[in-house]
Amino acid sequence: MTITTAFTRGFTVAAKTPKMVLLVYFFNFALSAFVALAFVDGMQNAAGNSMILQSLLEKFHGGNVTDFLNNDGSVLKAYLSQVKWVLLMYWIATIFLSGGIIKTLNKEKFNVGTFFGATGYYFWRYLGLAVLMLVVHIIVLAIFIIPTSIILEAQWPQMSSERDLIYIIMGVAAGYLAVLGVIFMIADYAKFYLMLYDSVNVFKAYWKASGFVMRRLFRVYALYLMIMLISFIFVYLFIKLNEDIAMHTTAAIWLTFLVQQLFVFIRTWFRIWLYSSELELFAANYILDSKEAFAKEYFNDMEQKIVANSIAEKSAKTNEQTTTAAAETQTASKTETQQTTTKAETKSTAQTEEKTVKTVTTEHTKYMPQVTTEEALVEELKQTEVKTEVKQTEVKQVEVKQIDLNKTEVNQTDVKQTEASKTEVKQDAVVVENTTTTETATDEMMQKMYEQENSTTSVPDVDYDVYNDYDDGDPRG
Amino acid sequence: MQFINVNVNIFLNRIYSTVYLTQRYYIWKYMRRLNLFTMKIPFNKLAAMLVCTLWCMQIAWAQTDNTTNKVPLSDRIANYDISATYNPDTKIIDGQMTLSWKNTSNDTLYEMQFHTYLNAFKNTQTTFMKERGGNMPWDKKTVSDLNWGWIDVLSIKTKNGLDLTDNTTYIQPDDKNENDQTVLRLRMGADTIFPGETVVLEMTFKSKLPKVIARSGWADDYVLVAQWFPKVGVYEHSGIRNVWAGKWNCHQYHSNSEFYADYGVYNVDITLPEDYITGATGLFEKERANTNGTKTVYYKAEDVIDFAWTASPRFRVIEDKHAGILIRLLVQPEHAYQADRYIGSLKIAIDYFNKYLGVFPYPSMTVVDPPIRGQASGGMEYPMLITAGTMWGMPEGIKMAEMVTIHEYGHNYFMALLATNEFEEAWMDEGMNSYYETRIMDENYGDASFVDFMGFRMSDYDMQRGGYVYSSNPRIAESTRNSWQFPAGSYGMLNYNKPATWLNALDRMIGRETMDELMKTYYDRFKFKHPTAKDFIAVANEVVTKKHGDRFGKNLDWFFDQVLMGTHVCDYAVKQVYNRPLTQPGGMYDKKDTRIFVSPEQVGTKFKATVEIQRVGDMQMPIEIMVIFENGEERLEKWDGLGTELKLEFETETKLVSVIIDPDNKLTMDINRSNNSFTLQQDHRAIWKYGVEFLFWLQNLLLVIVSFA
Repeated sequence: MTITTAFTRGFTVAAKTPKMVLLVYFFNFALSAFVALAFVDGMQNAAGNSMILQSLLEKFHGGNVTDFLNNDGSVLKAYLSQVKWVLLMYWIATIFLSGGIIKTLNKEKFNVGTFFGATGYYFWRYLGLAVLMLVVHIIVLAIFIIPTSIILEAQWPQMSSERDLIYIIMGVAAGYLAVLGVIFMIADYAKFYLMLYDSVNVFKAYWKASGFVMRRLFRVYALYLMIMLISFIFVYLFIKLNEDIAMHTTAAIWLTFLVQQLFVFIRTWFRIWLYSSELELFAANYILDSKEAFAKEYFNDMEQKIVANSIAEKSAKTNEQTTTAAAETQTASKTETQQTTTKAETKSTAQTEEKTVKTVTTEHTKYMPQVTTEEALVEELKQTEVKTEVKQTEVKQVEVKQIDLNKTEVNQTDVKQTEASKTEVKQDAVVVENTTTTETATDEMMQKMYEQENSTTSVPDVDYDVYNDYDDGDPRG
Repeated sequence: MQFINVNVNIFLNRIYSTVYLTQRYYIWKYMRRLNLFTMKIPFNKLAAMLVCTLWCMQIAWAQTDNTTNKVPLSDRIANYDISATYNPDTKIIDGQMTLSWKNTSNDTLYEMQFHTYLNAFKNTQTTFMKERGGNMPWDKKTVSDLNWGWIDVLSIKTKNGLDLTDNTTYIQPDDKNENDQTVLRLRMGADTIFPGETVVLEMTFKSKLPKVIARSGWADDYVLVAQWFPKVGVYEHSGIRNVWAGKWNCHQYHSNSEFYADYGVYNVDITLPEDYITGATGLFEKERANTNGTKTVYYKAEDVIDFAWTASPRFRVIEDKHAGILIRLLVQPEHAYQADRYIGSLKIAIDYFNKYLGVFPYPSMTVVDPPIRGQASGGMEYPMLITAGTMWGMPEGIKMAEMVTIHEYGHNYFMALLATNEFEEAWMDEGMNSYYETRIMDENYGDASFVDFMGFRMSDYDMQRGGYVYSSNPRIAESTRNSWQFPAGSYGMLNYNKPATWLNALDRMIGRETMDELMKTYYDRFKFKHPTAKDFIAVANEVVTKKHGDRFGKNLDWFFDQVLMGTHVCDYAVKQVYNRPLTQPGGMYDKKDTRIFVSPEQVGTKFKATVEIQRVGDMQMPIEIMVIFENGEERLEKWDGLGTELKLEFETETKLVSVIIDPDNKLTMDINRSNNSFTLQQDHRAIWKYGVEFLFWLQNLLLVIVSFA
């Protein structure tokens, strides 16, 4: 999956869950309002009948504020000290909500029961992950700070100006922020791992997520930066807008409040969008990695691909023949249309691995996002009870029938049977028929398919060094 | 050509000096032999007067002829010709100095006293260091013998060859700390100094500059050389600065103290590496390249109390001219993009002081921008040379460079031109200058003149006032102490912030016009002199009485007694505000033989509004009280503020809703303005405004936390 696909898919999925975003926003609002209302209350009590703060309605006046705080600010300090506890509470609340958020994004449908079910189910493992991330963060911070301090201490006497010092600090800070982004991303992908594989091993999840991120750092980071960049542009525009709203009247205060809350809501949504896009990327790539690894070990899987490709070619030929036969027998144009459609879809299946088709959903894979055709194909090889949707099954039926026609003769009856078979079929039937086809494949075909495998771009963007990770297996299995 | 002319002039001056001094010497010897001053014969007195007159004319002619200012602006008591060679490797200056010092008193002096300030940095046991806790002021890891500073006076000879080198001892007039060597006493031996006599001393000295500390020293290849030569103290004779009996005023170098010196003319030449760019007090005269990779630069400064210089090969020089003053900015390359901030603010200050105090009498002003490791030398004033300071990336909204430049330039009035004793009356230069700083900053940069950054706004006035009213103990001490006698941590508050605040209070009380006249009179009367607090108060009383009669009392002593001499604290508060229906007197009344009952019913729709004001602090100031009624009517009441409580009652048709003490913020000394107002119709919108903002930023902070979860 390309990052643009993940980006747009993530956007679409995130856009489908406004209720969830609202819920997450509410948590943010409620916790903040708890302190903010206390703050306002404290200010009002401290001000009493004094008019000193009234001048602040027009503009900030440092003298009046410091006068007020100097004489009546002790109560406010108590309120402000609550902020650190709110930060801690929100940190925990965010961990709590993460499970529900990711699960909802995976299902693409928000349900309160499911949401909170997942929050509780994944809380402890996510908490462990967050603590682990903090530890990693502290280590990374130390890695940045300690050498930098040593270097600066050594270099400072030779520096002629603070500008050099500031440049170094800015450079280190930029590097740190870049690494911080990686840490954040790893944490996100580790969450996906924990959920999709229903794992409780946070260390393994962190390790796997690290591997995932590092193997495709550019793509993963590009996706992260795209959304971050949009966020920053949004923040910048908001600041400019906010500057233009002079909060001098009650109406202006309300307007500012609404605009600010909308801003917070959208920022919350940006976070969900990031989760969603990352989840798309993870599901499409990491699981594909696993499948490819699986196929590598079990050559049979490769054979299945070869067969699939051969099916596609044969199907194309058969389609031509079928079309000719149809023309000759002057069968209804309905059949011809169907054949053309079948041809196109078959070609697409065989040559365009990246093309997205319908979701493979089983009872056990409800957390799985959409997968590619190849994934579906590999999945089919492993599963014995997989329900494919009608359209895809229809294509495969046509393929099988058409290969059979190589041995016998093409007749219109088969085509009609295909048309008639627009119902769900069992995966085991597909397996049986594919196996039959494999047995009849020639060495020449095999060689051709190998070449195609090695040369074609139809194989998705897979990092083959991931094969040693295949032991994760299929989370659905 | 110019070089030849200058050399010829110097040559002629040297010849003249020799002739002149020899002549003076013999005149004095003659006078002493005849004992003319004590003769009872009128003829002899006449002869003595004639000789004295001739002698004075000689001096006057000599001084005017030798200087640029044909009419001396000051009494030119201490005049120096200094020849210095700076070695950047050892940070040592080898100096030769000719001091020409005039005894303007009627006292015969048997000793002289010199400041040897650099010895304050000699070790951790000096008075300066001990007052800073006795700790090394530098990083222990990098400290070496190069860090320490000292000055040795190697030789002292009178002009007639009398060697006084062995007549020196270090004294400690302030604290008897024997480890302190910042005051050198020179016994004149046989060469006593008679009234009116000018003594000429040839001195050699070696000054080791410290690693930059307290306004002076080196930082890499940058040097700010101040208080670097043996500097003669001030002999205060009877009649000046409230002194009854003449004595040397030569204090040790203290951690908080600044300086005090007489006016004079400085001719200074400095030899240093040829790639160094220099700036100094006075006018640059010429530069001579030497054969050994060095150069010699010549500076001349007239009617100044000090001479400081700076050098660095990294300086970038930016010159400008404004109001007849040559502006030289010596800026670090990395700060050059902020040159407009320095020069712009300097021009503002020049114009402001020219307009409101007096025309700047010196021909040049050099602004030094120290490097980052030389920041300890920043923010300091010397005649015609100031050090400011900024940092690379300093936001425009934080006007530190502007504020420091304006402040230090102001010191060229309150220190260099009004040469107060900074040891004993530090508030007179720092406080008055800070007051002008608030005026210039706020009038030119608006109500957020000091900080306007990320939504935080503060004026320079608020910053100065805040330093006083928010201090942990505003009544900790009076401002009139010697600079080394202030309680720990209170020097800045009592010498900068508090005087600036009460000068603003005085300004708002007597009016800007009167205030400007007061300050101008003070300046005109005492420029190039050593005024004291009493001088200033006398001028204030004179001007205010002239302008306002007895509106503020017989004089303003009551004001200065509280704000300057005392530790009084100002705090007025509105205690209560309430409205009651105005009723007719009720109850039982005896009328002839009957007792009648009168019901206390409301009289029409009138109300009786009551305001109770309290004086919480012990400072008594006249105050204004504004009362605001429901129909928008405003009334301004006045109170002398002497009592502890005031009750105001109003019979009105509408209710009284708000009361504001000091609505025009004249009472700057009030340490608690929160209780200066009282309203019955509280408007909480401002609080909600900031509540909404607080909520918003807290929410965003929480969203940042999300990434760590």
